[in-house]
Amino acid sequence: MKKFIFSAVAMIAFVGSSVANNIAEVRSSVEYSKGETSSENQNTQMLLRMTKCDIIWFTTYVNAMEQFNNNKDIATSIALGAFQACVEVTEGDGGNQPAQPPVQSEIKP
Amino acid sequence: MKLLSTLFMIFSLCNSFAQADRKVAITYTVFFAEDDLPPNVYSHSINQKNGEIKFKLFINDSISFFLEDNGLSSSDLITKIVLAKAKYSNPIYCSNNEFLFNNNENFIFFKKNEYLISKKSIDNWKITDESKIIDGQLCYKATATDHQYTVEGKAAFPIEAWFCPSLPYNFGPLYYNNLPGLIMEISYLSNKLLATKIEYGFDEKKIVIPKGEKSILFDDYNLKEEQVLSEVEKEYNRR
Repeated sequence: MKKFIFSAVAMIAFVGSSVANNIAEVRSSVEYSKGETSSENQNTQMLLRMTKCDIIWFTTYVNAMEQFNNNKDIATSIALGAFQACVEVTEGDGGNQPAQPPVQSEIKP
Repeated sequence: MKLLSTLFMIFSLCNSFAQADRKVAITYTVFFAEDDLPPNVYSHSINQKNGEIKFKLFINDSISFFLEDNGLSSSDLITKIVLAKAKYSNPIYCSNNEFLFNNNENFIFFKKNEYLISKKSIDNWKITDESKIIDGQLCYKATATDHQYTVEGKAAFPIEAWFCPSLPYNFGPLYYNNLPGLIMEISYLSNKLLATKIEYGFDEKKIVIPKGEKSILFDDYNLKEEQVLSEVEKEYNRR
């Protein structure tokens, strides 16, 4: 009986500490995303700030650069058209939302 | 040297007689080489706009204001592409050989009017003795170089302008001025802007001084834009 109780307590302690570690990782990742200074954090900031439509702008820009001999002026003009079309569509779906933060499974231990 | 002196004399004489006509509005029409762009889904529509897109240059004494003048079709994507191809993004105000304009809204990672960009007039004009008649006016050819920012970085490109000393306004379209006469025609990067109408007198309210949150030089702004674009690309590749 004593052995059983001891094992149970040990197991609870072990599982508890694993959960605590995971929570700490998630919290630290969330803390990073709230704006603490590190280059990783700044990158996460950019990632979180880029909306779906920003990404549409960028991919359209890259394609247009190829189509128009790397003419930046024309490429940004076409990219804006795609961005605006995206915003109009997403406004109907509840707004141009920021990109989702990385899911927990993507967080490296 | 003799040519320069003659031109200067003509320019000064016309200037002194033209004091009453210091407000002038010039319409420029855009022409471009149709085989300049690689064939794609937009080519046919872009070529149809050849000779249709217009700009207006307002000159009031020592100030000029240059903007596109296409009415409702300004919001048309193909019109925007042609304007972009002609290196135009926003109205350009000029005073004391300094051009002021806002950052291009096409680049969405800066806010609208976040920057007030300043660009100096080019000062490397070479006046030639070649001449031709444009709209009944005797014009002379001048050449210069300007620069733009490409994927390879800062790159120079040639400009060819035809100016008319009998029209004593040292202004021209886009970022080009500083010649002893109005620039009636200018060619650069496979674009040509040709003066197709001159009107005297206009409402001064048409000239609007642009405003921005932060002032920045043209070269610094382009470097900043490059930097942000590089960050965007990095983040896109991380996804």
